[in-house]
Amino acid sequence: MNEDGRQEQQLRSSRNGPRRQPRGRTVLYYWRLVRQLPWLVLRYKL
Amino acid sequence: MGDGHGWSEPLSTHDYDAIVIGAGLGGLAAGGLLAHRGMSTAIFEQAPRVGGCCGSLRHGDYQFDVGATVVLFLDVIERFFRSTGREMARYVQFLPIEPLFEVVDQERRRFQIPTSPLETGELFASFSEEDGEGWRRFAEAAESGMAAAMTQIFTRRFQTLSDAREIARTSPSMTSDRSSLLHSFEKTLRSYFRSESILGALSLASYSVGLPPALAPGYAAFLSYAEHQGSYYPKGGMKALPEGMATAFAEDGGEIHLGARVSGILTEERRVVGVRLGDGREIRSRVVVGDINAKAIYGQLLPRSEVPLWARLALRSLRLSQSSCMLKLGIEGDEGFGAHHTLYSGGLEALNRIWFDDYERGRPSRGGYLLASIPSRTDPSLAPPGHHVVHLHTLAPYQLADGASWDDIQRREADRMLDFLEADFGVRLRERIRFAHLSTPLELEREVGLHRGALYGLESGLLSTSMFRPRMRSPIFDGLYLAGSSVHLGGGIPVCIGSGMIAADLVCEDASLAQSGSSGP
Ligand SMILES: Cc1cc2nc3c(=O)[nH]c(=O)nc-3n(C[C@H](O)[C@H](O)[C@H](O)COP(=O)(O)OP(=O)(O)OC[C@H]3O[C@@H](n4cnc5c(N)ncnc54)[C@H](O)[C@@H]3O)c2cc1C
Repeated sequence: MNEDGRQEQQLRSSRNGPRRQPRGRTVLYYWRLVRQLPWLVLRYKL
Repeated sequence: MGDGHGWSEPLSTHDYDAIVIGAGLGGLAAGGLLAHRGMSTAIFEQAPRVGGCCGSLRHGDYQFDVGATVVLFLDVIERFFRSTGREMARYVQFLPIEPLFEVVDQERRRFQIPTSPLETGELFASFSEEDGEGWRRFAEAAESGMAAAMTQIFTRRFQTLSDAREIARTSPSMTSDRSSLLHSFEKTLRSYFRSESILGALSLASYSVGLPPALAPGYAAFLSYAEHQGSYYPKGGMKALPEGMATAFAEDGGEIHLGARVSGILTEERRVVGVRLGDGREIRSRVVVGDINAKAIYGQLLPRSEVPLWARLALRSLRLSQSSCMLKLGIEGDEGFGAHHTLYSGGLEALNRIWFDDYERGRPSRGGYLLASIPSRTDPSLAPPGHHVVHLHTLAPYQLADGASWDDIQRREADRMLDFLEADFGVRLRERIRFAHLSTPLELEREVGLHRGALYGLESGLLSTSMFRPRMRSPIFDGLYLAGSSVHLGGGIPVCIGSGMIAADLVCEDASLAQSGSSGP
């Protein structure tokens, strides 16, 4: 790889996201699912 | 469930065997199969054209898409035409889209995602070894399930637990990554990729189930792999698909009434007996297939007193999918339009941010991302030589928080989208614009009959898809069937065509049951 290519790759890999979804949003995901549970039987019936 | 779906009555009391409300793709698919199987069928469509969200509109020299801009899973469409004894290519032709996407990321770097999974792997590996390896695992998880299962599932019933068991028995799931059934889209995607640019590019698929990456189900992450099976644009514009289906329908004796809004569904003792049109005429039929949002069917077209409370509660618990606005531009010059789709991406996090900070609070989004589709790149006949048609999509709430109306803020929002493109991505279009129109959620509702502008009908999460959506054979009204994006698996061209095919099968099944019943002792 030439100098430009190496710099490009370094630049690219320097912009990495967090390895995990932030905890608050993980909780939010499950919370929104839990809130739907009471309706499931009615939804299934319709 | 009633026993006869009204089939034992003599035909003379009816104008048609079947009436379809709406000439969207679900309605055209249902109507097409019913007419082909010998039923007298009429489609009533409020708009002056067929296709609903899948169509084209001309403004001066430019032909724009109404909604959908790309077709995936061609084999579902082929299967539809084959089921009516036809060869697809005689009715509609498709042009391949290559590359799938151009991405312009937060750092204004451009890269193109090719159709070939192998080349995509090489591209991702150039970001980092981890991303290259991530793509290999991602592709493997998707291919082991999706390639075999997806197109099958689109045309299969998935309404009950026994349907679910049957599907689990006979086809693999969308992905072999079981944890994606439990986790969110974001969590799933982050378990494969590290680079913000790649995460930003692949996370747009979450919106196709009507939710941001943080809230969409994990398995939906594999939808972005589906495009690698090939993405297409109908020759002559998106309208060519519904027009081809309408031609087939008419050849089989079906009637399409354009500019004919259905204002109510007629019922007698929980059985549908026809429809009332906007002009007050009543048309009788044995069955009615609704290709419009289930919320509108049960909440607006059927008499409220006949829809039981439990059903109204179930409907209320289902959220609509997201709405959006689309800036349509006629542009002079070629520069800057390297692909049919260009995603101006603020990254995965931006998609979550505009959802929680803007969309859910009733505000037009302040940046985040813009998806540009430039179909004249694939089919140059849509614009004069040297010009392009450009659509810029972004998330936009139907109901604005401050009480403003979309009609009042249309101009300001169009300007804001152009400013965002200029400031964040250095793309200057203003001098080259020869035509501009912002299509808002309100306009989509008025012109395409799209209930509250919801792009994909209902939101399609883990607990709001397939058997948790309204059934295609109504459990409340005999003779009522539902197709389109609010039932079955959700929105999208192949899924909606699949829903229409299933609805037609259900109608025919009930008809033959009733006929064999009535010819018995
Ligand atoms: C902006 C946008 C972009 C999209 N992009 C894509 C894409 O790129 N690829 C993809 O696969 N999918 C895409 N989709 C989704 C896809 O277009 C839709 O899911 C699909 O076309 C919906 O089909 P449908 O059968 O539900 O009917 P619809 O398209 O919703 O049509 C319903 C029809 O019923 C008519 N109607 C409504 N009310 C009445 C009434 N009372 N009486 C008579 N007629 C009535 C309407 O006028 C309309 O023609 C997009 C959708 C939108 C809105």
